[in-house]
Amino acid sequence: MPMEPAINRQRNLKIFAGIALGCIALGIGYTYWVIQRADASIDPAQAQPQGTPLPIARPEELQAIQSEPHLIFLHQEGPHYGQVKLAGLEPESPLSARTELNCDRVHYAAGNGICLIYDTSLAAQDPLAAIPVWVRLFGSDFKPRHEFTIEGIPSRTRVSPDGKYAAFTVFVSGHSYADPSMSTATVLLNTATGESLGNLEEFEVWKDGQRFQAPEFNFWGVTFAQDSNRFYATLRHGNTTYLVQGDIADRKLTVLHKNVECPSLSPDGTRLVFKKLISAGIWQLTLLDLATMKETPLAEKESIDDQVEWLDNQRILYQKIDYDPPKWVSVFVLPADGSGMPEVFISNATSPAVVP
Amino acid sequence: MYPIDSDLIKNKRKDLRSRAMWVGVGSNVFFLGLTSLLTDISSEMVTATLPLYLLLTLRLAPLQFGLIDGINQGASILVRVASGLIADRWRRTKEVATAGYAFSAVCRIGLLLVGRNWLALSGVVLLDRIGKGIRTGPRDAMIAGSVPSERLATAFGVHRAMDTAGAMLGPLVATGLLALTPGAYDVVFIVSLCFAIVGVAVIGLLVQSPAPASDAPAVDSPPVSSQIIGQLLARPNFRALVLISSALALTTLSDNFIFLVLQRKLSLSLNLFPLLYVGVALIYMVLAIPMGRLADRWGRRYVFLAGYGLLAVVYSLLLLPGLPQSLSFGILLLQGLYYAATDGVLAALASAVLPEQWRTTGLAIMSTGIGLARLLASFGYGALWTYIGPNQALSIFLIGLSITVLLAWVFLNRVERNADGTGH
Repeated sequence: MPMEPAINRQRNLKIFAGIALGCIALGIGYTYWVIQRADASIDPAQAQPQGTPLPIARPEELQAIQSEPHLIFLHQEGPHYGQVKLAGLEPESPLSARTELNCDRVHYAAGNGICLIYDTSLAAQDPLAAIPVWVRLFGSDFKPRHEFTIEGIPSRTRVSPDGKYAAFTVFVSGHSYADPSMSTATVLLNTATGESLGNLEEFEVWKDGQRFQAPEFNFWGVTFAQDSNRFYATLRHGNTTYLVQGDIADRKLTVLHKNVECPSLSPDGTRLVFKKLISAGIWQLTLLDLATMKETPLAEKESIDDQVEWLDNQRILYQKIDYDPPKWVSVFVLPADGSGMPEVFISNATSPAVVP
Repeated sequence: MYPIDSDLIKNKRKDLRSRAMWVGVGSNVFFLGLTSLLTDISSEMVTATLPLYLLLTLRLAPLQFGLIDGINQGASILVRVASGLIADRWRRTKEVATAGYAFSAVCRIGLLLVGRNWLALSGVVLLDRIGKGIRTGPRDAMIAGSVPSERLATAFGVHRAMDTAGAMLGPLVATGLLALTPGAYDVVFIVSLCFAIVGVAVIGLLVQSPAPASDAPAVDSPPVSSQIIGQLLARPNFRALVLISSALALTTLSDNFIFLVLQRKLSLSLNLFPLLYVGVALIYMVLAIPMGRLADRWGRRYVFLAGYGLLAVVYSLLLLPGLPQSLSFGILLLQGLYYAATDGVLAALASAVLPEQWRTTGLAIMSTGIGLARLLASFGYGALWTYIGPNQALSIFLIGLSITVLLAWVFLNRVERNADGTGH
C-alpha cells in the first residue's frame, strides 16, 4: 500500500472533517428550517385553501359536503398525491374535503365508489414483473368494503348511476412487452357483494343481426345508462374499434358504430362523447348523437386519452396535461356541442366523478 | 533532519493496526465501503421517495416506459467498459471512480431544480445511472488493489456488507425525514445531497490510490480499445469466468419473480413484499463478510458454485406443491446466502485472474456480460410465464441453472488455482 506523506493525509483529513461537518450542518439546519416554516404556516388566520395541507375530513365534514352536489377527484400534487378529494360544485361552495383513500383511478355514484391503485411496492424493483393492482370498493365513508388484487395497469373505471354495478378496465400484464398492441380486460362487479359479474369477453356479441365471434376480443371503457342494466363500451377486433351496447341481464353486447373509444354517456342518455382515433396515437374528442348517429368534433384541439365525465347535460370534464403553469395534469371543462374552449376546472387533479 | 523514517514506520504500524481492525482488509477497503454506504443511503432515499415508477407508467405507455428503461440500462452498460478503459489506460482508477460518485451527487442538485417535470426527472435518473456505470468498475478494481490476493473475497465481502447496509438505511432515513416534515420533498433531496457529498469526500480525500503491483508503464498498452478487450478475453481464465458468470446470470431469476412466486404459493399479503426485500438484504449484509472469509480460506470456486447450488435449491422449493409457511423464511435465508456467496466472491475470482493493469476494464467487461444476460433472463422468464405458465417457466430455469452449475464446475476447475487464493 502506498504511503502518502503524512502531511498530506493530515491535510485531507482536515478538509474531509470540514466537508462532513458542513454537510451535517446543512442537512440538520435545512430540516430544522423546514420544520419551523411548516409550524409557522399552520397559523389558521392566514391559512389559504392551497397553501396549507387540508386535514383528513371528519365524518360530519364528509356528510356536509355529500349533502350538496360535489365533485370527487384525485389530488395530483405534493404529499397528498393520489388522495381522493371532494369539492362542492355550487359556484361559491366553500366546501372541500380530503380522504385517506389513495387511488390511481376512482369513480363514484350513489354512495358506492371504486378505486384502482397499483401496488408499487414491488413494481419499482423490476418493471418487467407483473404489477398487482388493488381493486377497492368503498362506500360513502370512503373506507374499503371489498378489495382484491388483479394484475395489469389500471385504465378506466365507472360506477353505474344507481351505485349497483361497477366496471373497470386494466391493461393485461404480460402483453405489454411481448405485443405492442395491448390486451385489455374489462370486468363488471356487484358493488354490494364485491363479486364479479364476469369479464365482457364472456358476453355474447352481435353485429348486424348475427353472432360475432373471434378468438380475441378486447373491451374497454364501460359507461352505464341510468337504468344501470344497459351500458356502452369499446370493443376492438383486429385493428378496428367498435361501439357496443351491453345488457347485463342478458349478458349480450350489440355492435352499434365504428371507431369509438372510451365512450361516456350523457346523463339524459341521448349522446356519447368518445375519443375518435384520427391518426396513430392521436384522438379527437367527439360527440355522437345516439338517435341520428351523427358525429360532431368537440373544440378540444389536443389529443385526449381519457374517458370523459359529464358535468351536466351540456359540459364534460376530462384530464389533460396542464402547461400553464406547468403542472402534471388538471381537469378541464368543455361544452359538449363543439363550441367554446377548454378551461381548467380543477388544477392538479384527475379522475373526476360528478355527484349531482 | 525531518524524521521521515520514523514517520513511515509509524504509518506502517497504524496501517497494520487498522487492517487488523477491519477484518484484515485495511482502512482503504473500509473507506471504499463507507463511500458506497453513504452513496447508497443517498440514492435509495430518493428512489424510495419519488413515485417515479408510478409517474412514468401513468404518463407513458408501458412500451415507451420499457424503452426508456432499456436506454437507461444500455447507457449504464456502455459507460462501464468506457470508464474501465479510461481508468486503466491513464492509470486514473481513483479519479474515474470519484468522478462517477461526483456525477451522481450533482444529479441530486438536478432533482431539486427540475421540480415536477417528469421528462427532466427521467433525464436526471438516466444521468444518475450513468454515474453508477462509471464508478462500479474502478471502485471494485481499487478494492482488489488494496488487499493482498489471499484476502480478496473478504475485502469484497466487507464492501458488499456496507453497500447493502446503505441500501437498507436509505429508505429508513427518507421515511424518518418525511415523518418529521410531512410533504417536504426538498428536505429529502437536500439531505440526500449531503450524504452524497460526504460520500464523494470519503473517496476523494480518505481513500488512497492503490500502488500498481507491477511497474509496467501505462504507455505499452495496445492503442486500440477493442484490442485490449480482445486480449483480455483471450486469456483462458478470464474468458472462462466471463462465460460462466454470464451463463449463470442467464438462468437466474430476478428477486422480484421469486417473491412473486412465493407470494402466490403462500398467498402472502402484498403489504409484506417490501419486507421480503429487507429480509434478504439483511441476511446478505450479515453473511457477506463471513462468506468472503470462507471463500478466501476454502477456495472461492467452491463457495461461488455452492451459492448457485443454493439458488437451485430455492427454485426446487418454490416448485414443491405444498410449501409450508415456515419454509418461506428458509427461502429468504437461502436467497441471502446465495448473494453473500456469489456477488463479492465473483469479483474476487475475476480480480485474481486479471492483470492488475487492466483490472478495471476486465471487471467492466464481466459486469457487462452479466447485465446483458440478466436483461435476457428477465425478458425470457416474462415471456415463458405468459405463454406456458409460472411453474413450467420456473422448471425450465431450474433445469438450465442445474446444467450451468455442472458445466461451471468443470470449467472452473480449469481456471488456475491461484484464482482461489489458496493454491501455490
